[in-house]
Amino acid sequence: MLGLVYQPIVFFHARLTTPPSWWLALGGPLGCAALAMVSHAILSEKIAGPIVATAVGSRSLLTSLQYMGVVNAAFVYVVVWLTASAFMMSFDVVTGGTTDVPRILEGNALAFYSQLPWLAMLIALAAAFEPPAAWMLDGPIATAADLERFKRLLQQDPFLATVRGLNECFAVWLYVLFGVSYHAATRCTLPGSLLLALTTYVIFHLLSVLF
Amino acid sequence: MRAPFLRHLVAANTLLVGCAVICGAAFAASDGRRVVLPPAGSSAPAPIAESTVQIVRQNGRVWLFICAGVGSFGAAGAGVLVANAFRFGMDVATVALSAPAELTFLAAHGLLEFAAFTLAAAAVQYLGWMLLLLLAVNRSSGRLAIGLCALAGSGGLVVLAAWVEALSHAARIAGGG
Repeated sequence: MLGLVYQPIVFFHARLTTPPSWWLALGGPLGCAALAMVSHAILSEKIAGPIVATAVGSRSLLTSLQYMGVVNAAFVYVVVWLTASAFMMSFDVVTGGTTDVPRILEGNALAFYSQLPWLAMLIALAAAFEPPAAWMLDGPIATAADLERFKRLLQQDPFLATVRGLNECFAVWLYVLFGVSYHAATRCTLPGSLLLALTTYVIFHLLSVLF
Repeated sequence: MRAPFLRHLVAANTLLVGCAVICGAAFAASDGRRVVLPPAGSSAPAPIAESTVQIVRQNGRVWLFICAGVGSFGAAGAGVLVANAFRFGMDVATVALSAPAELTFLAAHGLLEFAAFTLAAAAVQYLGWMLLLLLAVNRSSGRLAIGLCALAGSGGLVVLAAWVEALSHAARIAGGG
């Protein structure tokens, strides 16, 4: 599995010589989901926990901040895997590429193993994180305006901004691996496969910004 | 792949929703959350039609997100369903702890809404499975019409749930119980 990190092209070509292992493949997105849930739970407890505890009578406003991120983290990696695979499989069917389309699905799932070290590190970062004292607002978060103000503070925090930036870099690396996996499974050239994977990333990113 | 497969998906999604509601309620109950609700009869009720349209727009957004999940073979729909069921569980527990009488207003439209979302998620997973078979093994099994009918039915249920919610909301504000 280490070959996935330092020799991804060789790794994905070598995978084609062995029969698909769906349990091993599923371990990638599910492992990512489990680690992401832990880091989200730690971060949300540290960020929203103290504010929710003081916000008597208005706690429901913060519910989404504290728990919904954890619930979403459980699904986001599986959804990214399946959506990106559906997009690339459709492209392959349209362009009449390979006859072994399920290999694209398997290869994309295996690519998620590359995210595990970063997600493990994210847990350590979340554990070490201490929210700045300035985050404790003057009073309870009672209105939507208070909540917006708190969200702005979250966006401006340098630690969280760095983590978000690094997360984005690892996401791009994941899509690069999708491209390499696609190149190995189909007759598409490496630059073409990378372009397809990065186009997928840009489309999904735009959709997430728009919605 | 025929209608029984869709029924199994509906059953599996119902189980998923039930688990998520219980988890959400357990979280809220263990946290001792309370909510301060405005007293009944404190403001004039909005016209039913206007409220219904507003609620349809809100719930229709969730329904559309579930439908868009067909691109991920139904996984995104399951995620949206679980997240909303978790939140609904939290709301139910919070209201039960704060003002149990209000549960009657929440239960009727809540059940209808989740019936609609569960049916939509199952229909989208059914269609997603057909898409996966088509893409992966170039086999078009199953009946597209069943999935589309179930999806249309869930859309109708969303509108019905919105109407029931608008009625119960108006009844609550008017203090009519």
